[in-house]
Amino acid sequence: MQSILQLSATEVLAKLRAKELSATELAKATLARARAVAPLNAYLEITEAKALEQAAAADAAYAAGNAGPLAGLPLGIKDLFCTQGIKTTAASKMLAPFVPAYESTVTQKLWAAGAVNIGKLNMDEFAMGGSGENSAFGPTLNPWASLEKGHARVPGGSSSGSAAAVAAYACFGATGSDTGGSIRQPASFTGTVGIKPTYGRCSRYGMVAFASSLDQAGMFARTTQDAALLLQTIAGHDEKDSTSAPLEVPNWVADLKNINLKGLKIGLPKEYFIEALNPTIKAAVLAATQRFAAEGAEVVEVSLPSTPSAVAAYYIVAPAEAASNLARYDGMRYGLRVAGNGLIETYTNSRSAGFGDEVKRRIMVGNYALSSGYYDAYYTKAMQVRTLIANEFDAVFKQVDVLFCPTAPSLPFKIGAKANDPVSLYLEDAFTIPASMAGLPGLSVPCGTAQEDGVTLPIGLQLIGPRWAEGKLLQLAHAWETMRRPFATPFTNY
Amino acid sequence: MADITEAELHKLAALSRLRFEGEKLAAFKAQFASILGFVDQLKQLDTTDIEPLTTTVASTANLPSTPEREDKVTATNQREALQRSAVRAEHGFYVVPRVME
Repeated sequence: MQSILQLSATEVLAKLRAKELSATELAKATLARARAVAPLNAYLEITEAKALEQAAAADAAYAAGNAGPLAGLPLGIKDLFCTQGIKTTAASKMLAPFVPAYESTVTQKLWAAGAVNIGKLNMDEFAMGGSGENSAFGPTLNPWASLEKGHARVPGGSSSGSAAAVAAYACFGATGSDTGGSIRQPASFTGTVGIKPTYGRCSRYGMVAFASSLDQAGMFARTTQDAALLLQTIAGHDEKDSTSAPLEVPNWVADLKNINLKGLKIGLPKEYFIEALNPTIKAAVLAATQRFAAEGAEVVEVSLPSTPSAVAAYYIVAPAEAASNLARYDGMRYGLRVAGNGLIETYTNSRSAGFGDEVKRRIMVGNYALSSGYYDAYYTKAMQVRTLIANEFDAVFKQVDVLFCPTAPSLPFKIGAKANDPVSLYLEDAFTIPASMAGLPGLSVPCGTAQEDGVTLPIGLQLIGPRWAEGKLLQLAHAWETMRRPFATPFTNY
Repeated sequence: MADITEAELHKLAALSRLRFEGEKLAAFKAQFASILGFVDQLKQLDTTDIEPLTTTVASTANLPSTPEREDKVTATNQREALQRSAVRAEHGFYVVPRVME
């Protein structure tokens, strides 16, 4: 079944439609693979009963001729999307016992299209982290590197399990969420395609909240066409989320090839090609850009001067929103309760036992920034910087159609390498945070590999576009896949 | 700046309903100072007369205003389903620690 597992979502759906393969056979093969990659710690829970039930329904739908666009497609779900009757933990001890009474809109749309839930995927606790190491249930490991102690590498985060499971052929696509880079950076670290759409493109209903003005759902896949198919399934206005935009969702798959590279204007933001950028990554991104130039695109250097301040501003805005959002976890109505002497002590005991270190740091930083006396100096200031960032992007998109830049400044690093220094880990998001702060769509697509300590590791090219330009990003990433050398993530038997 | 006293830290922790003790406290204090030192770079930026950006929804040009849904009841009485996640619920009520003596 290895050859089936290595197909793209688009290819495997064609086989299902042609009845060369049943959804049940495919679900069983994917479930077996999900169990076989257990050493990666990508899945927190494999939902076998649910998967087989959905696969049987897909087979019945194919037989009846009314199968949905994703009927029988095995997917993984980041464990912050609420799934009715299935544990949803956000990789936190606080939510370890939580079984939602309702379904998130994003997952509801996937199931309505016929997709099959293989399981719930590991992540940094409450989506706070850039390495996958902040999970209360242990780190996820990168399938590109050895899993041995001292050699194992991070898959990026916070959507660590989503990226690793898709890269390791343990599902055909996975949901993710991106607040400051949580889809794009792990996609870059695992050689997968990850798209974070424009803020407001997808409903946040039923997603465990981290920073509500930044959180956005998106998808991981092994090809851009698959990413387009999955994204157009989950996008769209939802009356349960007033920040979801009342816009028609284009057919991105149908439009994928509908682009002329001649005359396309690509901007290279000079603030993304800094000294801290790994030179191999820089060379790969510039080489990809040159290929587009050879096809007739015009490449110009542009400037986004506030870029170096974006990480600092983000680490005020996001913790401030997180501190407010996470105030709901009091151990009373759901989640963990650790009894104490009276109500306040029970709150404190529950939160101190339930949250991990990074979550506590962000709550503290957020409450500090929001406290009277510091509010203007930190919070208002950060929101003003956010305006500067957004205005600079607006100005640049009057000159160019799209920005090309690296997704991350470094290659996937070793487990533990940045564990004791929060600020060095925060800087890993330096190239993904600015687009998040401005609410813009961003996509990471593999653009090469690099050697480090004898290990081959993937490199991601990030495409950033103006609001609602997901279609253009998908077209360009798809065009790139036809130009680059053949690329596939390794299939390892553990 | 970037310095926070232990007393301030304890006050902030108490307001956040969190507790830090022993070695954890020392480690946390150092990390907190390093994070504040990092974000303090923003003070160098001139943001005079710049409006704070609280949401990118409003700036999504040419969109109709925030849509309002019809004012009708959609999901009624979810109490039983929701209280299934409760730590402790009895007779349809959440049971919490004693608040008054």
